[in-house]
Order: sequence, then structure tokens, then C-alpha cells
Amino acid sequence: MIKQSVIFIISASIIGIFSSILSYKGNPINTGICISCFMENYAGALKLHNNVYMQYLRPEITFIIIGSFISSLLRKEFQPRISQSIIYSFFGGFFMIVGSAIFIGCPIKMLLKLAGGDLNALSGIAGLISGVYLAALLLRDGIDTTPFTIKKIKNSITSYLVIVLVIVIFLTSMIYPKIFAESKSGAGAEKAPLILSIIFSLIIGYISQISRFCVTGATRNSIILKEKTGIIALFSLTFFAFITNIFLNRFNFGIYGQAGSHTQWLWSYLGMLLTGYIAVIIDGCPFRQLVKTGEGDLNAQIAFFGMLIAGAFVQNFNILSDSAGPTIAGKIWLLIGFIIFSLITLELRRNR
Amino acid sequence: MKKIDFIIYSIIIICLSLVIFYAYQTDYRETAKEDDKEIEYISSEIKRSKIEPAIKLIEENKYDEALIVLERYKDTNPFLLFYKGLALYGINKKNEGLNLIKLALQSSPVLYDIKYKNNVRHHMESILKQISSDRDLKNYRHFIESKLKGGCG
Repeated sequence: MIKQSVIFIISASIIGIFSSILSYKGNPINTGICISCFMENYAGALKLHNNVYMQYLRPEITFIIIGSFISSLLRKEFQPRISQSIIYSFFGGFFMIVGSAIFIGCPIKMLLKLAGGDLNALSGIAGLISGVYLAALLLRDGIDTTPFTIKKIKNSITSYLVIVLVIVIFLTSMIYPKIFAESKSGAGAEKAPLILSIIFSLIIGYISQISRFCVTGATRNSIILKEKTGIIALFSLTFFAFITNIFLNRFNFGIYGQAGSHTQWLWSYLGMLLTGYIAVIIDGCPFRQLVKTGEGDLNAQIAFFGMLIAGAFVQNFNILSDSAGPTIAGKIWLLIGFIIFSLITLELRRNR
Repeated sequence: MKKIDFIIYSIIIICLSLVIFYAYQTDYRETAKEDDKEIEYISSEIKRSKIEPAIKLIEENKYDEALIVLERYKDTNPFLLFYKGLALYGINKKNEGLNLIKLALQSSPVLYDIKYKNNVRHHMESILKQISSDRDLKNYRHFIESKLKGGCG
């Protein structure tokens, strides 16, 4: 038990340090690892949207999944599994990216923003805690757990579908790069050296599979089970990213003038509230969904597609916030997310 | 191995070989590469050239005259929005001008694209310098500074 807690904290610290280095080496500011931004880049590279500033086949997505896959194989934990809640997983993945797009960043980037001195992240943190707390209250009060009952299934070709898909896409991009779109300027063109991204992502994926690191999972366990490990891990991630930023002279303290951030705190709060709430319902933040994809979790693979489609959707329909704040379309889609997940909650409570 | 399995495996191997062969052919075929970015730069140049006289007046700090010239244009050119905003800012209608500048930058990131040769980054930096101490304009300061720094969003 102690060993698992230590690994959990170490993996969080490694994510913090590696993310700051990746950002220093070329990834966008405070975006060493951000699954929502990277999903948008990935969708753009696959030409699912046409924002020429957000197209890059981020190797981090591919190699976090591969790192987790290798770890689960070596540790004999690769287990194809599925539950009935695949439709929740799809919409969960989708709306987690919508919520993150309103805030501008996934839960990991939220902590990285804070570590970079961006105080606007605090509203996101408050939102995430509120979302997780609401979902924790719901769980405590009782819901219908039938849709979430995990069923182990035999090894089959479909259990490897997304893993093979991301590997084939990556290899194709290496051999025939012209097939995919790639930004020449803007956030999509801001990238760390390929080999560094691959090594760091492999390590992050590998160790996160062992530790089962998840930002919302850690917050949930701290709230429901009063576990200290989760809070220490999140603090460690932020602290080590902060120290690395200081060392690399990348710390910029304040509210105004922060890259990839806006000052509309209410909407940041609501965006992260939705993301936090959904992450508890579908068991994992966007990062954890990638790691679970590598472990053979078919629900996570469905969530992967939900996130990928959302990555294109937020760009095509102007849902993504910018430094001026959320757009009208962004506000509308966030509210639609609240409506859909309120209805799902009602259904889960009615059937309990 | 059953006969049907053998046939399926053969189909997979044949298809895979053909995929690799055709992909190889596609990659080495001479094709005119369509570069979205280049198209955007060229289209921006055309849009910019339409209001070139007004831009010259603004660069000579003749904001009133520039505004008169810009009023003649009625289209959705982002350069028109940006320079109109700059002219309004120049005649001390700061909020009105900054609103237009914000709208232009939001609608067309090419305006501050570092690789676009006629980008407006120098104007943005100049405005940023002027409004950095004005607390009422802190949201515009945040917006422009954030856009200059880059990153997602």
C-alpha cells in the first residue's frame, strides 16, 4: 500500500518535471502535457478541422498510450474489459474536452498553469474540486451501478484497436509525412524535439499505468476516502513543475498577460466543474483515459474517440476560448454538457 | 489451419502489400503541394493591399484622415477592422479602438502570425507598451500580451 502511494506521488512529480521541460524545449507555454490541446492538434493533423494553427500529430498522445501498453503487458495487467456505459464514455470524453476548451486546458494543464505562475488556474481548480465533490456526493447517495459494472473479456483484435491505430498513424506520419496536416506557425507549430517527446511520453505512460495516476481520481479519493496520497501527489506535480519552471526561468507570476489563459473566472470554474464531474462518472480524467486505453479498457477507447471528435468539434464550431474569454458557442456547448449530464445523473438516480 | 482462415490471412497480406505499394507510389508522385498556410498569406496580402493608402496614413500618425479613407470600405477585411481600431485608438477613442483590434485579432490569427511578413505584431507591442499602466484597460493588455506570447487558445 505504501509502495503504491510512493509510486503515485513519484509519477505525479515526474509528470510535473517532464511537462515543464517539454514546454521549455518547444511545446506551448504551460502546455508540456495537455490532453485537450493535444487532442485538438491530433484531430487537426488528421484533417478533422481546418484551423491551420492547431495541426500537429502530437507524439505525446501516441506514446503515453504505448508506454501504458508496454507497462501493462510487462506487468501482466493488460486486460481487455468493457462495461455497458460506452455511450457515457463517448459523451463523457467529448464533454470533458468541451469543458477543458472553455478553461483552455485539461486538469493536468490546470496544475501546470498554476506552476507557471498563472493565477487564473485557481478558478479552474475550484471548479474541478466542486465537480468532483458533486460527483462524490452523488456516488455516496447511491446510483445505479449496473452500467459501470466492468466485465472482463477475452483478448481479441478489437481490444488492440486504438493502440494499433495510433501506432500505424505515427509510423505512417514518419514514412509519409505529407499525408497529415502540420502547422507552420501558432500553437500547433510549437513542439518539443520529437525524440524528447517520445522518451518523456513513454516514461509518463509507463509509470502512470503502474501508479494509476489521475488528477480527478486523486481529488475524488481525497474527498471520499480522505486519502492524503492524492493531495500530496497533486501538490508534488505542481511543486516540481514550479521548481523546474523557476530553474528554467519560465515562471511568470500574475493574472494578466498569461499565455493561453483568460480572466473570465466564472466560465473557467464552470468548464472545469463539468470536466471534474464527468471524469468521476466515467472514471478518469482525459489523461487517465489514454493510460486506460493502453491497458485494454474498451470504454477508455470509446472515450478516446469522443475526445478526438471533440478536439475537431471545438475548433470547427469556435467553442474553444481564447485570451478574451469563452465564445458564445463555447458557453452554449458547455450548458448543453450540463444538461446532458444532469439527465444522465437523473437516470442513474432513478434506477438505483 | 482451416482453408477459410488461410484465405482470410492471404487477403490481409495481399491488401497490406498493396497499401504499402500504393502509399509508396503516392508519396513519390509529382504533385503540386497545396499549402493552406501559403494560401492564407497570399489572401491576407490581397486584403491588406486593398487598404494600403489608409495604412500609410496611420503610419504617418494621420489618424483622422485614415479614418475618412477607411470609412469608404464596407467589407469583412480583418486588416480593415484592425487599422480602423488603430486609427480610433490614435484619436483617443481607446475602448472603441481596442474593441475593433480585439475583434480583428480574434477573427484572423494571421494578423499576428510571426511567419507572415506584414504581420501587425509591432503595432500590438506598441499598444501594449502604452496601455501597460492603465488599470481600466487591463483586460485588453491581457488579451494582446497573451496573443503575442502564443500558446493554445
